[in-house]
Order: sequence, then C-alpha cells, then structure tokens
Amino acid sequence: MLEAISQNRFAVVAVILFGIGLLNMMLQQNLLKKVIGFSIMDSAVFLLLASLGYIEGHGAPIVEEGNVNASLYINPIPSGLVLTGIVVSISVTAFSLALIQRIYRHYGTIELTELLERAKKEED
Amino acid sequence: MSDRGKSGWKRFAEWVNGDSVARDPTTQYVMNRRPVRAHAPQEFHEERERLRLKKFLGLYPLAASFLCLTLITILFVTVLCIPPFGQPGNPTNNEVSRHYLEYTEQETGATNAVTGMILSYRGFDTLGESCVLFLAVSSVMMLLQRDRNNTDQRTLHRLRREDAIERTHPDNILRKSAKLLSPFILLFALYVLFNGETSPGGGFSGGAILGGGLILYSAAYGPEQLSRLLSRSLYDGVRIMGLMAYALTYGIFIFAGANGITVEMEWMMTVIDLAVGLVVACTIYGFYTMFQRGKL
Amino acid sequence: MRPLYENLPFICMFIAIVCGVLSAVIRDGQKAYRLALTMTAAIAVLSAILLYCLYTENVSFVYSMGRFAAPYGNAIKAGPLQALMATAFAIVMGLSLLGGGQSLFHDILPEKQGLYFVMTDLLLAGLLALVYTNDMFTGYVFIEITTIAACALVMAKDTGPNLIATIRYLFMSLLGSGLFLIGLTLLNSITGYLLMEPLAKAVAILAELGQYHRPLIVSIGLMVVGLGIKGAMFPFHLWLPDAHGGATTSSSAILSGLVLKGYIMLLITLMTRVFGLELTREVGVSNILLTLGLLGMIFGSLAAMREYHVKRMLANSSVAQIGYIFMGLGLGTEAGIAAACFHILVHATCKPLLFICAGRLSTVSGHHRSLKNLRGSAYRDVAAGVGFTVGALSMIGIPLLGGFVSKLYLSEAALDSPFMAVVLLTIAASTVLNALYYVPAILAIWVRPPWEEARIILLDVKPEETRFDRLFFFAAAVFICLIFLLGIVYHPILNIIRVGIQLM
Repeated sequence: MLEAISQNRFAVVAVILFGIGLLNMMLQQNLLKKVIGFSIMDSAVFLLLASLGYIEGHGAPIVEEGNVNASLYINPIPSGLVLTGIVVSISVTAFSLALIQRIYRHYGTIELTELLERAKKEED
Repeated sequence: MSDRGKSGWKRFAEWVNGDSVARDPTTQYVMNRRPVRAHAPQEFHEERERLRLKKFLGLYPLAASFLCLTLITILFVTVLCIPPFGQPGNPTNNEVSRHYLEYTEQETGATNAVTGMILSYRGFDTLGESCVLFLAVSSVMMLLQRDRNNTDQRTLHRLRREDAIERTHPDNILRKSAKLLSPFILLFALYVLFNGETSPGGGFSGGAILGGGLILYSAAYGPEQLSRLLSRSLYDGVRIMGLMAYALTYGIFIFAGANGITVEMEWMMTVIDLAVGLVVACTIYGFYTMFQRGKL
Repeated sequence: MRPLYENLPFICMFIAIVCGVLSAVIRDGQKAYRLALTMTAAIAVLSAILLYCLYTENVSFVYSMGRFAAPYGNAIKAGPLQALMATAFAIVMGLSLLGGGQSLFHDILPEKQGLYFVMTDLLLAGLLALVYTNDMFTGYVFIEITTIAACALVMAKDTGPNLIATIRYLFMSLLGSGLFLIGLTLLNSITGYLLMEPLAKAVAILAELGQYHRPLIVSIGLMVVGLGIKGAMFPFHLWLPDAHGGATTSSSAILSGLVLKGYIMLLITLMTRVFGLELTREVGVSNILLTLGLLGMIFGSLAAMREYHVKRMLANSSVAQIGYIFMGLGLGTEAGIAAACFHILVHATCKPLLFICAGRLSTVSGHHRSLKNLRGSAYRDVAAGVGFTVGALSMIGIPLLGGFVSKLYLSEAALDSPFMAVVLLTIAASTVLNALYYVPAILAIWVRPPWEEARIILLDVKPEETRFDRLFFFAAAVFICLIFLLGIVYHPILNIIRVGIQLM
C-alpha cells in the first residue's frame, strides 16, 4: 500500500486535490467558492496529466542541435495537452466570473440558495 | 344558457374548460361539488414550489457528498494501479512521443518539441483552443459590456468619480515605473513570441506577457489614454485578424497536407505563432478591461 | 491526391469557424443572422453531398488534419452515420434560427445580437467536430467550445433567472467535462494513445490480457458519466429545465435539439469505435446506461406533467426523450444503437419544432407562457398550432410520425435483451405518461377560453407581433415535412444508420 502510494505520489496528491475541488464545487453555496473549487479540480487533473510525461533523470524536450536521442528528454505530449487544458480552464473561469458579477449586480447576493428562491419568486 | 344552437366542438371546448352547464340537475349538482381546478392554484402552486425547493436543498448536500466521496474513493484506489511515476517503460512513452522528439526539428522546424507538437502535429486542437479564447472574450463582452440591462446610474457615477480622481491625483510611482517597464515588457514579449519555436515560450506565453504590458499601461495612464492608442475598432480588428490569419493559414496547412500538396512550412509556423500571440494578448486585455470598466 | 469529397467534413468545420469569427466583425444583428443562415444552408448541402458519396460507395475514411499521418497528427473520420448527423444538425440549426428569429430579435439587445451569432456559428463548428472527431483530446477541446457557446446561448436573453440557470448549467457542464478529462488522462496513462484507432487496439489488448483492469474500467466509467452529465442523463438533469425553458426560443430549440445530441454522438463514437460494444457490456457500463435511461423516461415525464410553464414542460420532456436514447445505447447491441441514432434524429426534429411553435404561440399571446394563458392561441397562428400538434403527436408516438418508428425500433431492439420485459413495460408506461401531458397541452391551445379571460390576454398583444411570420411558417412547414419523412420513409434512413454503425 505505502509503496504503491509512493510510486504514484503525484497521482495520489492529484486525487486528493481533485477531491477537495470537487467537494467545494458541489457543496459550497457561495458561487465564487464554487469557481475556486472548479479551479482546484482542474489544476489537479493537470497535475496528474503533467506527471504522466515525466521520466526520471530526463531533461526538457528542447532538442539540441544534432542530438536527437529520444532517451534524453521527457515525453512532450502531456505537456502540450496541459497547455491546451490550462487555456480552456482560464476561459471558462473568466466566463463564470463574469456571470457571477452580473448576478451580483442583479440580485445583490451570490449565495445559491437565496438566488434560487428569488429566481422562483421572480418567475411566478 | 341552453345547449341548443351550439356546435359540438364548442360544447367539447366548454367541457374541457370546465365551463359547461349540464343538462340534468343531478349532473349539475355533481359538477358543482367538484373542486374547480383553475381558480385555486396560484398560492397553492407557489407553496408547493417552495416546498419542493426546500426538499431539494435539504436532500442535495447529502446526495452530492455521497456521490463525491464515492468518486474520490474510486479514483484513489484506481491511481494506485496506474503505471508508476517517472519510469521510462510506461505505456505513455511510446513511439508517438519518440517520433515527436526525433523528428520535430526535421519536420516542423521547431527545436522545442512541445511547440512543434501543439502548433503542427496537433494543430487542430490548438485552433480549437484559440476558438475557446475567442468565445470566452465574446461571451464576457456579451455579459459585461455596458448596455441598458446591466448598468445603473450608480456604476456610471462611480466610474466618473474614479476618472476624476485619476486626472487630479495621478499615481506617480505607478506611472514612472510603468514608463520604465513598458518598453522592456514589450521587448520581452516580442522576444518570447519570435523565439518560441526554439525555446520554452511561443504564442501563448508571449501573448500573455504582451497582454500584461497592456494592462500595466492601462492601469498607470488610465483607460482613456490607452483607448486613444487602441480604440474599440482597432482592438476588434486585431483580435479578429489574429484568429482569422490563424484559421486561414491553418486551413491551407490542413488542406495541403491532407491532399499531399507540398507547401513551405517555416513561414506558416511563424504566422501561426504570431497569430496565437495576438489572440492571447487581446483576450487577456479584453478580460481586464471588461471586468474593470465594461467597455473598451 | 484524395477524392474531393473527402475534404468536405473539414471544409464544413472551417466554414463554421470562419463565419463565427466574421460575425464578430459584423455588428449588425440582421446581417450576422443572414450570414449564419447561409452558413447552415451551405453546410447542410455539403454534408448531404458527402452523405450521398459515402452511402453510394459504402465507405468511411480517415482524414489527417495536416500532413502527419496517424498516430502522429490530428485526424477526423467520416462515415455515412457522421455525414447524416452533420446534415441533420446543420438543417435543424438553420430552421431553429429561422423559426425563432422574431423572438430572438425581441429578446436580445441590438448591440449584442452580432455576438449571439458568433456563439451559434461556433456551436455548429463544435458539434460537427464532436461528430467527426477521431481523437480523444480534440473531442475534449470541442466539448468545451460547445459548453461555452451553449451557456452563452442560454444567458443571451439576459434576465435574472436566466443568469442563474446559466451558472447552474455551466457548473454541471464543467463537472461533466472535468470527469471526462480525468477519465481521458487515466486512459492515456495506461494506453499512451489519443487517436482512436491505436487507442482501440491498445484497449482491446489490455482487456484481453486483463492488465490494468481497474484503471480501464474506471476511465470508461468516468468518460461515460462525464458525457452523461452533459447529455442530461437522469439523475444529472436538474439543470436542464431552467436552462432550456428560460432561454430565448431559438436557443431552447438548438440546446434541446442539438447540443445534447452532440455529446451523445461522441459517446456513441467512443462506445463503438474505442471500447467496443463487447467491453462496454462486460464492464457493466451498458447496464448503468440502461437503468438510468429507463428511470429518466419515467421521471422526466412525471416532472413534465407537473409543469404549467409550456417551455419548461417541453424541457422536462427532453429529459424523458434523452432517456429513450440512453436506453437504446444501454442495450449494448448494434440494433439498440441504431434505434437510438434514429431517435436522435426524431427528437432533433420534433423538439425544436415544439419549441419554436410554443415560442410563436406565446408571442401571439402577449409573451405569456403558462399553458393557462395560451388557451385558444392556436387560432391566432394556425401554423404554430398545427406544428405544435404534429410535434406533440410525434413525441407521443402516433403512427405515420417519426416518434412511432423510433419507439417501434427501440422495442424491437429490446427483444433480444435480457431485460426485455422491463424495457417494454417502461416504454409503454412512458408513452402513456407522454400522452398525459401532451394531450392536455394540445387541447389547451386549441380550445377557446371564455371571452373575458381571452380579452385580458389580448390586451397584452401588440398588433405588429401577430402579423404573419413568413420565416416561421417556412421553418415549421419544413419541420413538419421532416417528421412525416422520418415516419413514412424511415427505411432508407435506418439503412444509412446501420451501414454507418458498421463502418464506424
């Protein structure tokens, strides 16, 4: 058990972070805290993804002139995927923050419970 | 009210509405005793909706935490069985990654395998990613750009007051340091942009630095000063030009590549890199100014 | 040099992206609207040509995006099924925009209209990419594009409840794509591939050897659940009624008719191309899909029965109809998936028709939306009334209409399943429940209210809004024709779907 944990230490940390983020996102009533939870969750996935590409003792994948021995460098694929993922996550965060700002201007609160009640009332 | 002279359809309609008058007194009596549905429901409905919401809010945390904890446990047990961290023999380190490392320079002209991968091997993903950025700015604009739905007098008043303070008491420390730093930030951004193919960096980081420079300038000299240099139409122009140039170049690349037509690659990488940089810079500056003032 | 038609899928996506970007330049809403309509028409024609070529030659092909062959570069794959779906998506998108045009320009501020069409155009690009993709990570990126664009469509109306519905929708969607991404990561860690063909080979080898069994099952489960959340699978559907019911008419039509289907198409691609049906049955994912689908069929209808707000009723009914689709997938056989694909087409034509007709009926009744206030509204616009009736009857499953055929084939597919009795009973029960809320709705719109009540409603009606709406009439007429087409000449369509699944 302990050996398995230490072998996959990054993955374990990523899962713990994912859990923290997920619980925050699902259980918090405050919309901003939900967004923070989402950010933590996404970062955890990126940590897991980035850790897949690392190979112990190998360098960054910037191929030097005339030295194209693949066994010197780490795996470039996960790094590229993380880059894409981060950009997506930033966009989504900005979008949700803008939404929250508008909701706050409209209702004066960002507690989800209160918002749901008031939206129901407004609709009837 | 007599039934004579009414069409069958009309009688049916009245029956559906519960308005019909029965012919014989017994039915009439039964009908009158029947609770009339259409008249009560307003308050009743509200009350029921409220109760449903309350029940939902009471039940939701339990269900959600149960599901989340189950999911986390499953994930925890799972990651203990995935291939160990950092071993060269893991399934991820297969011929694809070796190919990227060995042939990136030869096939794409980039020494940085990550840049080579995201800009040419997996360029379609990156095009999608730029579209995500573009979409994000567009939707933030849709939400926050000032219009009659989202602006009240108080906000306008606050903005005017901030501008006035800005004019009468400029922040000297910020201005001087911005003046000092701006050229260097710009220079560094351009270096990262153009040097991205050979070193860590490229469009995304370069664009982010460029956007940061714009934000610093805007914070120090006020948005009006900046909008004299970078007007709404210019901003839109640059943003759209960036993505357009990217999409078109990449379209040619895909079309030519898939049909086996050989084209020069080097300039394409440069154009794509620059275009990505412009898109990212505009996105970052757009977010800042939309959240800050709701207009460009 | 490849044959010219093989470029069509890429060209369709490319057109959609370019038009989306162009719409941001055009500030004028009407011009952007026309551009979007032209674009959907062009894409529909191109996809139809592609469908014709692929179906007559009976092939599917991999198209590498760029000059790097698989597994090094991105790729897309198109077969008859994908082409059929792309054609249907483009047509439905165009007709939804046409049918809801009037209320769209009423609901959205003039300076934001251009941006609305940026969203619709890029949404179509995202949906096409979800249909055609042959690469898991491309799938993820375009899932996110679809998510943001769909959320923007919901909030475009810009009222308070709308914003709240949007943020709930956004959070649920983000949860879904987060689960999809972590599933993808786990799968990548044990196989090392992202492109679907080598991935499928690696998965098959792992499944055979029994290696990394647990991560494999968990990653399959996570991806299915992630896509299920985004496709409004039963217990995760709570965001849907507010989001779909509160948006402007075109948005509701597009969201219910297309966006959910985009994710489900990706799920079908994963099940058939990557995991293989045998493996999904073996690890129990099929049974979960089946159970949740059946529950959704019942509970969605029950929720719809309680609604009095017409668009929310339609949205709740979408949950039930999506339940049918998941049920078909959950049977885990090719017949089940073919029936589910047919139901996707049926629902993609009926639900937008119902939404645009409901929107039109509420426009001619002074923007009232509760069924009580819509009484007799069908006489104010007969086309909308007829459209609503046809759509509703098709959803109930009356012969000659599309809904009947899909229910028939779903039942037929269930005959081989071990859960035959449960499935058939649920289909029967759900049909009754459908009738229980659609028939009163039809009666309500066709029955004139007492004069005093009608007068109060008529006070809110502006005369220019009751004028004959040419575009709406055209859209409703085409939708009705499509429903009859699906209900009468279903055989060739089903044949295309079957061939398409073979050539997945």
